[in-house]
Amino acid sequence: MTQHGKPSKMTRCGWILALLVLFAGCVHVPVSSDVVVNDKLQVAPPLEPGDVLLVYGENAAPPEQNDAVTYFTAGCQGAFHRNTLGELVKTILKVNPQPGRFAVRHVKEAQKEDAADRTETRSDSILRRLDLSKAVVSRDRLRYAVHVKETFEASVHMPLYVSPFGVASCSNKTVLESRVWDLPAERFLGSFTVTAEGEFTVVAYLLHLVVSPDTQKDAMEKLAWEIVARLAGLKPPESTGN
Amino acid sequence: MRPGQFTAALGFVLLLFLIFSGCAASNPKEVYRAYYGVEPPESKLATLDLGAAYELIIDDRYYVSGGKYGTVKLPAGTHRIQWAVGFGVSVMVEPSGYAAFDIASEVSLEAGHTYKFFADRTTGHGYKVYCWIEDRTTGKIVNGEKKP
Repeated sequence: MTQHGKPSKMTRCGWILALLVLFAGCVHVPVSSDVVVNDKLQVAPPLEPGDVLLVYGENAAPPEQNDAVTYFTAGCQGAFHRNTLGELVKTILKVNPQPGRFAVRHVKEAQKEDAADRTETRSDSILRRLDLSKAVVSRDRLRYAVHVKETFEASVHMPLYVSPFGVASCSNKTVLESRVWDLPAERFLGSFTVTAEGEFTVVAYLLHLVVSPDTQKDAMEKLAWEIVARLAGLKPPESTGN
Repeated sequence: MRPGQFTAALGFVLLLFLIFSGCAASNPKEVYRAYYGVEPPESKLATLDLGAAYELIIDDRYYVSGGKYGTVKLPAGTHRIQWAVGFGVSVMVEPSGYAAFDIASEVSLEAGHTYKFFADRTTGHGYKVYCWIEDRTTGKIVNGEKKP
């Protein structure tokens, strides 16, 4: 017969340590951003099989942050993607419900548009800006050009995190402003702007609970969805499983 | 064995089971068919084995995720393939611990042949990355440079 006494102090400490180790760490809770589309685009004839869509523009500059802000906000401004345009091109292809129907080409070497170019709706500059001729547009079946300008803002609301405890909160906002051109007609078709906003929050007491809206991804996916729907005339699936 | 020890041993075995059960199930990957319209006969198709590539973009038209697809069937001929590979690297070399590379290849594919994407690298600072496509049917490198 074995006699069982009260657990020793060391055993209790061991169990407490085991529980702390088990529950320490980080849990990410992805949430959707609030997405708004401001549509000023004319009705565009859908892309025909074999047509090519050009995408060009500017990714947002990374937000400036010093080491102290990064520390006291648990890096909540750090969730930044540097290649939104590249991801946009992939996502347009992903959400296209008829893969292969049209091509999407990322024009990386296009001349950067200045403020005057962006407000200008005259058509004579679009081929020059993309370094294209009418013959090339016709030969390669270049149908639409979409200029995308990304802006990203993050502002600190609550920098009260000192590892491994505390609360931190920052707002993230991504704006994707896109301007659409009909290349064969050399005509400006209009613009639409996607804005995604969300609050990045960290609550930590050993276990870190991170509520993280990815505004860049949400805005980019919505823009891809809109491009396929508006310029290809197709209904993309709600989820991008590929 | 004392009951306390038995409970601890059982807990340990269960924990090991939980840890390894996530890796035990194999995830069969699908075949992506990169053609639009009428399906070409099998004899006119080439096959791509994604191998080291985690994603492909073929002719600016088809996006293939390596997470879902392991093989691509596409018509023989010349294709522009953009592919991406990634390596886990020391944080002493890359602060993120991960390095990804995009490669654009113009490749002539023959019907009935299978092509596989490879990537390898040297180690340490200034490491060199080798990415190549091999025709598994003939054993020839059709694009890129194989690591010596």
